[in-house]
Amino acid sequence: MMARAKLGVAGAAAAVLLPVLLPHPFVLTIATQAVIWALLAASWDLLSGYTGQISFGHAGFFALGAYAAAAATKHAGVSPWLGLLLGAAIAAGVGLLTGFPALRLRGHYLALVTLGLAEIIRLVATNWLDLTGGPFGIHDFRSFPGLPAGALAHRQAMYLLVVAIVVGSVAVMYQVCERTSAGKAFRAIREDEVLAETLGVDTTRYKLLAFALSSGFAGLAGGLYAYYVQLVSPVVASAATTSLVIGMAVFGGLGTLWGPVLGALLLYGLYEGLRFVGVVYNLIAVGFVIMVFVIFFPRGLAGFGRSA
Amino acid sequence: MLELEGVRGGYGKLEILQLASLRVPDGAIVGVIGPNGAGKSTLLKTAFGYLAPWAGRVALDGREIAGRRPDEIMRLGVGYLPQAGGLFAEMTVHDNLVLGGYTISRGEKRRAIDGIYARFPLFRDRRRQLAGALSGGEQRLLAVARALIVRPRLLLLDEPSAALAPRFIDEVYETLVNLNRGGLAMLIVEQNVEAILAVAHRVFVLDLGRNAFDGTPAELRGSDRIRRLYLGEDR
Amino acid sequence: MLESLLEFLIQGLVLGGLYALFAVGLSLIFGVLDVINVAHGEFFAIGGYLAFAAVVLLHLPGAVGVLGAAVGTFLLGLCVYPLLIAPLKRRLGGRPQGPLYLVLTLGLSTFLQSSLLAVAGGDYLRVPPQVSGILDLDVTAVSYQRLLVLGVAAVLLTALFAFLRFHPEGLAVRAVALNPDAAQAMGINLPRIFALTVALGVALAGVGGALMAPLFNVYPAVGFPLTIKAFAITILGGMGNPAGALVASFLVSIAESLSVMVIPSQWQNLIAFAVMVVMLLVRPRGLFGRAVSR
Repeated sequence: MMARAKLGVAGAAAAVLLPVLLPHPFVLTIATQAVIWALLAASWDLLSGYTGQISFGHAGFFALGAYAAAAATKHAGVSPWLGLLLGAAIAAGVGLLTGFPALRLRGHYLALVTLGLAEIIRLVATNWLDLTGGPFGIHDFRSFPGLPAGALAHRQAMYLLVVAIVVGSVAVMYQVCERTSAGKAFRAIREDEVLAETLGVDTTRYKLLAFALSSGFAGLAGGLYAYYVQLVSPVVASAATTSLVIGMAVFGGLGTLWGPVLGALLLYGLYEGLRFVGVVYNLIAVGFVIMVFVIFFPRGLAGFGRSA
Repeated sequence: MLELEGVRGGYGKLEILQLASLRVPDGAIVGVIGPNGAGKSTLLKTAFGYLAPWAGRVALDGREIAGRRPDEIMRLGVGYLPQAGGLFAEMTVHDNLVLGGYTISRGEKRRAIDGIYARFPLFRDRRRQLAGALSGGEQRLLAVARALIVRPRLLLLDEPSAALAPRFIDEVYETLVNLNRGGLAMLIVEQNVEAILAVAHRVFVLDLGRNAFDGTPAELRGSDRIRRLYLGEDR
Repeated sequence: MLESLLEFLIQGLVLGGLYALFAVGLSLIFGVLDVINVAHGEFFAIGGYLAFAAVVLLHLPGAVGVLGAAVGTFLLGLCVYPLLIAPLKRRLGGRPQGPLYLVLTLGLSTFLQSSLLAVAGGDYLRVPPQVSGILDLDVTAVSYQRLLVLGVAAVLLTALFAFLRFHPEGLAVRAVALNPDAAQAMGINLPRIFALTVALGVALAGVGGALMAPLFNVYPAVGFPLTIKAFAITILGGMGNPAGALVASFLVSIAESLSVMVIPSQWQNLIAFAVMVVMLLVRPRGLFGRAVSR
C-alpha cells in the first residue's frame, strides 16, 4: 500500500513538474487547469471517498468559490489573495449547512440533495443578473498582483503559484485524512456508521467537518479557477463539472487522495489532448472511463496490481 | 430426490456451511435441526439457489443444480417457503395466488386458484384484501397454498412454525402431513424440535455448519448425548 | 384574474403530461431495480433524434417517427441492464451501494450525450410537428402539438398502469419491486424483468422526446434539464412509486405554471429543486412513498 502510494505521488509529481521542464504555453494552460481540477477532485474524495458521503453537487461549491472571489474582486476591489480565502470560506459555510441534512440522508438521497443544491446554485447564477452577471458571468477582474509581465513568464509564474497552493492544500487534506483521528473517524463512518456510533465516534461532528473541509477546498479551487481563467459563468456549476470530478476520482481510486489527484491530471490531460484530436470525442472517453472503472476497476488506478 | 454432499458456503467472506450433507428420498419428510447459527437456513437457501455453494454437490433427481438460479430450480418442481415475508404483503391475497401460478397456463392457474378458494373459503372471502392484513397463521397457510399451485414435488420450508401460536402450529403441520401423504417430499428446517420429530421420517442435526448426527426421530430420542445436546435436558 | 388563473392552469396541465412521461418511467426503474437512471434524459434526446431521422431524413410520416422512437429507445433500453447494471451487481455481490449505480448511470449519461454530439453534431435540429394548428379556447390558446403530448401521455400511462395492475407480467414487475427473493421463488426471471423494466421506462422518455422534438428542437443535451427536474418530481411523489410520480408531475407543472403570476418567469425552474431539497430534508419518502429504509 505504501509503495503504491509513493508510486502514485511520484507520478503526480512528475506530471506536475513537466510544464516546468517544457514551458510551452499550451502545455502550461492545460497543466494549470489540470492542477486546479486535481484540487477539486481531492476535495471530493475527502467527502465521498474517505467519509462515504457521496456528493453529486461539488460543482456547486466550486462555483460558489469562483463567483465569490470574482464578485468580491470586481465589485468590492478585494485583493485576489483575500478573494481566494473568501471563496473558500463561503463554500465551506454552505458546505457545512449542507452537512446538516446529510446527517439524516443516506446513499442516493444524499447524492440527489447535493445535486439539487448545485442545480439551485446554477440557476441563481444564471438568473441573478446584478450579482452574477447572468449567463455571461463575471469578467474583467484583476488577477494576482506581482506576477511577471511577459506572456510566457506570466503563465509560468501563475502555474507555479497554483501548484504551490494546490500542493499545500492536498498536503493538508492528506494530513487530516491519514494522520489524525479525524481521518480515522471519516473512514469509520464510511465503513459502518452505526458501528462507529456504537464505538463512541461523534459521527455528527466528523461528518460536518468532512463537509466543511471538502467544500472549502472545492471553493478554493473555484477561486483559483476564477483568477486563472478570468471568467466565471454558470457553466462552472453544471453537471458536466460534477461528472468530470467524479470520473477523475473513480479513475484514480476513491479514498486515497493521491488517486483522484493523479486521476485528475491524467484524465484532464486526456480530455484536452483528445480535444486537440477532435472536440467531440473527449467527453465520450470520460463517460466510458467512468462506466468501465466503476464496474471493473472500482479501486481505480490506486488499485492496480492489488488483489481484491 | 434431493442430495447435498459436502457443501461449503456462506455469505460474502463469511463461511457458514463447512461440510454439510443430507438426502431427501422421494416422498419423505426430512427435518434439519440444530443450534442457532448452525447454518440451517443457509443450507436451505443454498439448495434453492439463493446462494451458490463454494464446494460440494447439490443434486435434484441426480442432476447437478448448484449455481442455478432460484427461478430455474423452482421450475424443476421445487417450492420454497422462507421463514418470514414470503408473501407480497402489499398485494392482495388474489394477486399473491396469481403470482403463484406465474409459470403455468391461465386455465390451469384459474382452476388451481378456484380449488384453493373452495378448500379455504377464508381466502375466497378476503381475496381483495392485502395479504399483509392476514394473521400470522393465515399468512403461513396462504404461502403454502400458493406454493402448491404449481404442484411441486419437493417443498423446502424454513421454520414453518416460527412465531405461530401452538394451535396454528398443529394446523400447519397437519396440513403438511396430509400433503406428504399425497407424495410431496419436504425438507423442513425447524427450531421447534418436538413438532418436527413428530412428523419427520429422518432428521439431520447441523452444528457449526456441519453434520453432527442423522437418523430417525426414534434414534435421536434414543441417544442420550443427542437428547442432552439438541433436544433439551428433560425430554 | 380568474382568466389568467385558468390559462396558467391549462398550460400547466399540458406540461404535466410531458413531466409524467418522464418521471413515471424514472420512478418505475428505481422501484424495481433500486437504480436512479441519470441517463434518462439521453433517451429523451435519442427519441428526438430518431423522430428527426424518420421524418426529415427518410420522409416518413410523423406517426412513424414516434413509433420508431418508441421502438428504438425500447431496444436500446433492453441493453442497459445486461451490459452495465448486471456486471456491477455481480461485482458488488448484492450489497446495496446506491451511489455507485448513480455514478454508473452518470457515466452512461455523459457517454450517450457526447456520443450524440459526435454522431449528430451540436446543431439544434428542427422537426416538423406531428400535428399542426392551435386550439383556441376563450382563456388561452394551446397548440395541438402540446395537446398531442398530453393525449399520448394519458394513453400510454393508462396502458402502463393497467399492465402493472392486471397483466401477469405486470404483476411480476410489481412483485420484483416488492420482494425480489419471493418473486424468484414464484419462478420469475429477475434479469428479464429488470431489462424489461428499464426498456419500458426509457421508451416512455423516448416517446416524449419524439413528441416534444417540434417544440424543443433536437440537440444532445435537450434531455438533461428534464432529468434533474424529474428527480425532483419523483422525490416529491415518492421514489419508486410510479403513481406518486404521476400525481407529482402535475403538481409541479401546475405550480410552475401558476408561479409566473408571482415570481419572474426565469425563476420557474427553481421551484422544482427547492421542493426537492425541502422534501429530502423533511420527508424523504415523498408524498406517497414507502418509508426510507431500503
